Amino acid sequence: MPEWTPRLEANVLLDFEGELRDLAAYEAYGGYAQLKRARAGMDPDTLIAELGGSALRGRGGAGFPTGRKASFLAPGAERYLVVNADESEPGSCKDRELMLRTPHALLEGILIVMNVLRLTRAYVYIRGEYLTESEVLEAAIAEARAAGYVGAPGPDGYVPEITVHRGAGAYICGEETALLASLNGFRGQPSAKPPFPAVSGAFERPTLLNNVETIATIPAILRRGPEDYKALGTEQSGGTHVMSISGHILRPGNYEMPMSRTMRHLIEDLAGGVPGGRALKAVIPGGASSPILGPEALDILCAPEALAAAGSMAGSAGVMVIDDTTCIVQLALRTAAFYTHESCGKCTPCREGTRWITDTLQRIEEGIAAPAEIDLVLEICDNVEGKCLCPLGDACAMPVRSMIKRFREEFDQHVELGYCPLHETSSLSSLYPQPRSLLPLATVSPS
Amino acid sequence: MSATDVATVTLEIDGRELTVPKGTPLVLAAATAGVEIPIFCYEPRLGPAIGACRMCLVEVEGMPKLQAACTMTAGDGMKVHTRSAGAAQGQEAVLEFILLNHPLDCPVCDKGGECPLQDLTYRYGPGNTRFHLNKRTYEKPLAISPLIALDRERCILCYRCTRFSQDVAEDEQLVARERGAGSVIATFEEQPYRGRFSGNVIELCPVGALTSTQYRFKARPWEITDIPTVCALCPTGCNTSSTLREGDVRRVLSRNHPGIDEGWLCDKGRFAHVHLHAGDRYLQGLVRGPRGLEPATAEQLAETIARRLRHHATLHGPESIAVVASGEQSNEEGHAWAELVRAAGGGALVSSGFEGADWDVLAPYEVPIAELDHADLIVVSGEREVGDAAGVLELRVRQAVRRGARLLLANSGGGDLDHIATGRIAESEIETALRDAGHPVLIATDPAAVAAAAAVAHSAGLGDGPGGVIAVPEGPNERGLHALGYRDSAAEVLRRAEDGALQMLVVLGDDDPLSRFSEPERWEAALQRCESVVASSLFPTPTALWAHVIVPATAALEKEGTTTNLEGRTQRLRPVLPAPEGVHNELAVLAAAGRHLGLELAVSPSLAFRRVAESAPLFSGLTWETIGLTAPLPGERAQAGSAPAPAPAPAAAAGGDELRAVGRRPLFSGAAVARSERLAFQRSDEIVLAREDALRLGIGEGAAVTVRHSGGATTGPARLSRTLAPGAVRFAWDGAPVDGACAVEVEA
Repeated sequence: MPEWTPRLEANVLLDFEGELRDLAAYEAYGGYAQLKRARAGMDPDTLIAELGGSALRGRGGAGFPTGRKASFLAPGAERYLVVNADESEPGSCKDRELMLRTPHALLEGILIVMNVLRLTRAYVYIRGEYLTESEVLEAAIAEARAAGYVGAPGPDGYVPEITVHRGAGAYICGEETALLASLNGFRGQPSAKPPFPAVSGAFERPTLLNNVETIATIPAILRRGPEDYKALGTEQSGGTHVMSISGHILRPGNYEMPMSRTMRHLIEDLAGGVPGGRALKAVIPGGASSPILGPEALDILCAPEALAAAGSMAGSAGVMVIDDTTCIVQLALRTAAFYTHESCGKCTPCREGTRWITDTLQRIEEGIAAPAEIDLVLEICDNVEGKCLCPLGDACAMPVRSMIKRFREEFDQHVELGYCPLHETSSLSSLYPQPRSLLPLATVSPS
Repeated sequence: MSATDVATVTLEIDGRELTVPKGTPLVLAAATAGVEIPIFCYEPRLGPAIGACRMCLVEVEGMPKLQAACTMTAGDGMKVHTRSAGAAQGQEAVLEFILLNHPLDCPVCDKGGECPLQDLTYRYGPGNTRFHLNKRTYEKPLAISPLIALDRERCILCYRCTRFSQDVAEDEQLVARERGAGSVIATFEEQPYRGRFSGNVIELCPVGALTSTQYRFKARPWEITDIPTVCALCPTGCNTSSTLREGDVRRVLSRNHPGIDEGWLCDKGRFAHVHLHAGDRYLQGLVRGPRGLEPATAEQLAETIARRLRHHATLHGPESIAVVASGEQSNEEGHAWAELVRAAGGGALVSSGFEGADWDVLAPYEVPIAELDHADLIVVSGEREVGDAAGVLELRVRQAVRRGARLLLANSGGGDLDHIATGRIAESEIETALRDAGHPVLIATDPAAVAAAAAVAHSAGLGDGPGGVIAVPEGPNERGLHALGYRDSAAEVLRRAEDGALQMLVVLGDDDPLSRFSEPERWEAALQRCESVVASSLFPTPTALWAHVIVPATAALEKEGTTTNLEGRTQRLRPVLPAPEGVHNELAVLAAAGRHLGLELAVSPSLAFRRVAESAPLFSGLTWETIGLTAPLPGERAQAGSAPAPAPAPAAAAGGDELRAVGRRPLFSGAAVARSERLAFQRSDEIVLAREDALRLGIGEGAAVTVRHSGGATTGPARLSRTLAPGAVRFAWDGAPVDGACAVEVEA
């Protein structure tokens, strides 16, 4: 078996150039060696200890320590692994890149977990829009099947099976309980916890649910050893993570970087900074649902605890860079409209509140709002946040509130002037030629 | 498990310390401490709380966010504040959100005045709105069925109705469509909401979004009276409230009796009350005279009945008189007729057209409906579907299966319970299945199954251990009448009539021999030979055509008395409205007839009930007061004695390629349903065929077919079933159960 030969020293997951789609290439690179270790008889405690030692935190957005999560999985004759590949947070596209470039890393991670924890079956719940990605994954599974890793008994007779399940394009199905509802054949809506998935998840059986990147990182952790991996990051958040960067940036894309590096490293060193000599106005650090930060974000570490301390969150690592031509009111409206559109309709504050926020922001952007309506939006945000069944309502309220609080003068200007002062320059203006038409929910026609 | 085994937790709600069983939702825990937490979506009968409306937000010390008190369970040492500033802000915020798009058309809304949203808005609402944008509008009202209107603007999307449809009735017909603020309640594929229990969603709706098309705009809550009574349209005996306005029944609501209906009601019980006003109802007594049937006063009716009874008894002896009761009568009426016949010299008392249902033999094995909550195995024997035989009993079976009980069908299948059943077994396998289970319940749904139940239960040892039999009689009050002596053989009476020995036949009820008994032609010939036929019914029946005396009957909603349900539980019927002018109190007519025979019968229902209570062990010790609003079960279970005689083996099933008819009475059948226009759509005329039979015969789904069977012919669209036993052909049949060979023809 060839030794692992990383080409990009600082990286763990994407430590190669180009793609490693083929099984042969992945194996030549040292892939599936850790699976063999797991199949040779690794006990669950060892795996959980290794994951715990690595300080790996879930990459789906909540950042829960992966080892602890695995230790919560209830015992049972039938247990499942569900991989959340429903990457739908605006600004985030790291799982997509991982699945396209190194699908076997994900499969190896899945198989290691399944072999060690003896899980009945693994489901990869992949976002409906990811057609190519699901094809690549299916092809990789076929290769792994031919190689005897999937669907064939291991040394002790255990037969792992993996199923790719495509979603139907709902943002909410990235939320774990909604994902499981959808996987179980029901309307994709979240449900109250408990029961937690670890007790009753897929098919009402104990289920371990992890993000693609989390699972794909497991072989690398076993290969390098937990201490080595952890050392790349901070005390609380070990290793590296793949950051998606978009917006006003010279080289948008996915970059793997250690947790211990700053946002400046990502924005300026890796992605080339704000183009056209324009100034950095704001940074959304963790996908559209994370509170906005100003230029001071550059000196903050990208680790979850550092961003939380700065009043935002690492979320799913979708960094959006905003330059000084951008109208923040438009940004807030665009953000709120997204969450209004994606609200599932189950709980009242999210269903009604997000639409009220959007409609009121629309009035502010159009310049027809009364001054009190800006505070009204803040109050609605307060009434939504923390009162919903799942985090979607918060995901709308938090960024909108942070944008008003940080850029209040822009909102005031809209109301005072009666129009958008940045309409000429803002790259979002093109979205609002006839603003009302953008909001189908505001004018629901009788059906 | 005894009460002491249940782990309890002690917590504090609004400063009041209380101890509740572990796992109790905070909403319920608070209620036991006298603290009300506002709710919309929470309804424990619909299954686990879903936390959708968020109205019940409370503050729990140590938790950063407000918690939904319906999904949060009580924990030891918890300190909960339901009216703190934080909790109040949350509740007010949610109520403001709920009201954003609610039309606030309370003055024209049926729900106004009895609306949880209205009530909670007065108590918790912000009092003003900050919402100045356009409200959502929808086309309204939408008839989601002929019975139910949907107003999507008023809907607050609490999902109670869809949960009922999906998780309780399991008919999966009400669904939520679209998402977010555009979510709407809809029926699957825009089909009418058809199901035995659809009307329950009207009562579940906490706003005026789902309204009854029968009740719509008919009354306001402050001008109505709700009178508690029980439904007497089937043997289940669901408790109901009848809404009275201006002397008329406007609607029927469920009234929760945890032992029977748990607050559910079938659509027959809920909507069929309009039959009281059907145009063909008898509104006066009739006696056959020289010019045919002529109007008669109560005294004339009484005198004629008494004279004829005495005439036949004296001249031909007790052999010559028979009373055939459908089971729609109250215990008091049944008792009065029995006494009258005895006073005249005796006669046969028959309570249905079927042989063999001896409730005394079954008694040692019987269990109440609520026993289903503990069953680990439910076996349904009898071809009639549970929901057809006893409406709401189906919901209790479904609940038991959701809880984990196994369900075995000892019939041909092809019905609504197929999808939740573990499997089908042969009749010969029932005994083994019951014996192997820890807590089995056998449900016998039709006369043949009821007749066989006691012997099977005995040999399976159900007399001693947990579990037992729930046997469904044919008539609503068949149990009570049986106890009162209506236990003579219908076949024997028929034979006597054919011999010419029977001279006087008294037929009580709208389910008469000519429409409900087997061999109606023989009964018709026999009726023609009788010198005196007395019919008592609400509406003209085939028997009434031959009647010499017609006593107009009172409906269950019009009479005071008692009725005994399938468990043997005696419940009170309260007079909700007076009988129409000209329809006499039957007890008064019978008492007047009694006076002619030297018999003193009670006219007052309470006195009549005292006589009933003294006359049979089933009623002993019962008084109006002990029955109360939610009646108790009869006393101790009888001890099992010697082995009951096994029922005669049923006719051998057709073999080979022969088809076997399975014609049973559906829930939506009978005189009351036939006169409730809006219920017509609920009745299915499908002919259910096993898929392989249909393929063999070249019959496609939906093809018009005619089944020719021993009872006649039935035509309807074919439905292909994968769960119906091959060879069986299932269809709705209002007469006596149809079994035996049949032929299926495709209509040209």
